[in-house]
Amino acid sequence: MIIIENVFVRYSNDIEALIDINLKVEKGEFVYLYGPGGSGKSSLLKLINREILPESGKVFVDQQETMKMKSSDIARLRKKTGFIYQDFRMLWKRSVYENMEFVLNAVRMKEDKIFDRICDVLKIVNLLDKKDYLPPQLSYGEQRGLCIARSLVNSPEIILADEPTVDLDSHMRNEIMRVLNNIVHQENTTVILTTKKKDIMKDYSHRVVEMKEGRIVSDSKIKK
Amino acid sequence: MGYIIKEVKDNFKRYKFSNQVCIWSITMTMLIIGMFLLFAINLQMVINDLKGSVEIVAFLKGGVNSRRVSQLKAKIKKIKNVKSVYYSSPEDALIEFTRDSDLKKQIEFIGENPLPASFGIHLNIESAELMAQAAREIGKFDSIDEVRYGREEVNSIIKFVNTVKFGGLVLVVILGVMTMTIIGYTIHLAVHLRGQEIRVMKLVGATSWFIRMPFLVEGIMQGCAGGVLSAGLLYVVYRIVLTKIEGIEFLPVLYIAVIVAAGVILGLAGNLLGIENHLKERGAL
Ligand SMILES: Nc1ncnc2c1ncn2[C@@H]1O[C@H](COP(=O)(O)OP(=O)(O)OP(=O)(O)O)[C@@H](O)[C@H]1O
Ligand SMILES: [Mg+2]
Repeated sequence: MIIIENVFVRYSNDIEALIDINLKVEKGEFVYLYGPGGSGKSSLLKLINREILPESGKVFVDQQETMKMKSSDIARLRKKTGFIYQDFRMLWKRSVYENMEFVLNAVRMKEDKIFDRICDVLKIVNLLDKKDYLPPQLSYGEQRGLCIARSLVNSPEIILADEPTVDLDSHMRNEIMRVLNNIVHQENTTVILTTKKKDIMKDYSHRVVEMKEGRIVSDSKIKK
Repeated sequence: MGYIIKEVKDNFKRYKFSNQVCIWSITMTMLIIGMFLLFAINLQMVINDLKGSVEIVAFLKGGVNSRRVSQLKAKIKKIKNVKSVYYSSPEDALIEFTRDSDLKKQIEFIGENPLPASFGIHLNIESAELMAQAAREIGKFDSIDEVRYGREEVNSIIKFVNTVKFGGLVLVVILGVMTMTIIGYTIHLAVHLRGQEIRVMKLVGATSWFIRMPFLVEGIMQGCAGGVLSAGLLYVVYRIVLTKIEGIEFLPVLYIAVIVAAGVILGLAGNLLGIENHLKERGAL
């Protein structure tokens, strides 16, 4: 469960990215963060991953306050969180396979299971035949795919997906949305997904949290 | 463990250039320091020779018997700073003296040995004052006629030795600080180039130690490689250039070990300092 209480975030250039945010996300929920560019969606996800800290207010992930975490707790938090970054955040000098492998090494998965697991996930994003490519040798869509695959590979409890489908073709987009919905239902994974466009929200039951200029302006549930 | 070995191996390929830069800068640094050491130990030998060449000569009065001579010798030996004493009889003095054939003729003309017996005394000299003090004490024995030594000579040798030692120390400190700084920054920079990578590693949940370990092992390997290379190059320089100068000796094995160890410490410290900077959690960016 993720709880955000009265959070303000101010960047070093004095921009207030998040203003008085209150949000509670249950385990196994699928939440869309919907809002225009610059409304603070990415900032909110980074807050949960503890990449950024609030100026005031509190953030809890599974009863642990992120502010008070030790460095080992932070690593544990991030291990159970899969982040699909808007700006990829790849290890640029490592191949597609090695990018995935690093994550599994970090969670200490057994050597003999790593290869199969990586191949299974790369299949989902259609990158299995490009597993030895370096990220710069991939198209944007493929880099996005790699980022998605990396976030899924260690079966995280929380997925923070920052506009994961923007440069994917419609077939791939539907596939990714299907996979994310599946893990929510089958593995009780929590997914928070940001988007600027309403159209990807149309196929599944979901909750929509709408943001504007750093504030949450509406919060509603839609059943399909 | 397997992960670390694999990482270090692959990182050498991934960051070939910066690895080479680090290794070469350690090599060059340690080569400079090694050359300086080589110079220093050879200079030390010259200094020791110089010091050893300074001696006090104490002439004995005539007609001192051999029992008295050995008593005196023992007493002189007990005086502070005296390293060794040797006795030279009038006959020894004559042999020494008559190496010069002109003098030999003159002595033969006199028909008897006019030379006195003497003690040659070597001291651990640290200052001209101590030398004078020792000379005064020796002069107090009643069988001693006269004590002689080159006061000016001693003074200038001591001055020279002290200047060289002080100059050397200053130079070592300057050289050391300079090279360590440059190398520290070089390695720091090499780690910095991987800052983005380190951040991504943290964001996918790698612990600090998981990230740090390969860097430290890389640092040790760079240092080791640099240290060994510099020792090798130093030996090459020694063989090609320095053996042409007579009496120059190579560094003892211990010094070589110190050079390699210093390289390892440099590599390790540079990497450690570089990476800690990136492992910090920054909060709002
Ligand atoms: N690292 C940063 N330093 C300073 N200001 C930042 C930083 N990151 C974001 N901001 C500012 O914070 C505000 C919110 O940015 P954020 O990236 O959270 O918006 P977003 O909703 O994700 O936008 P988009 O849909 O374009 O990705 C923006 O005004 C942005 O300029
Ligand atoms: Mg964003």
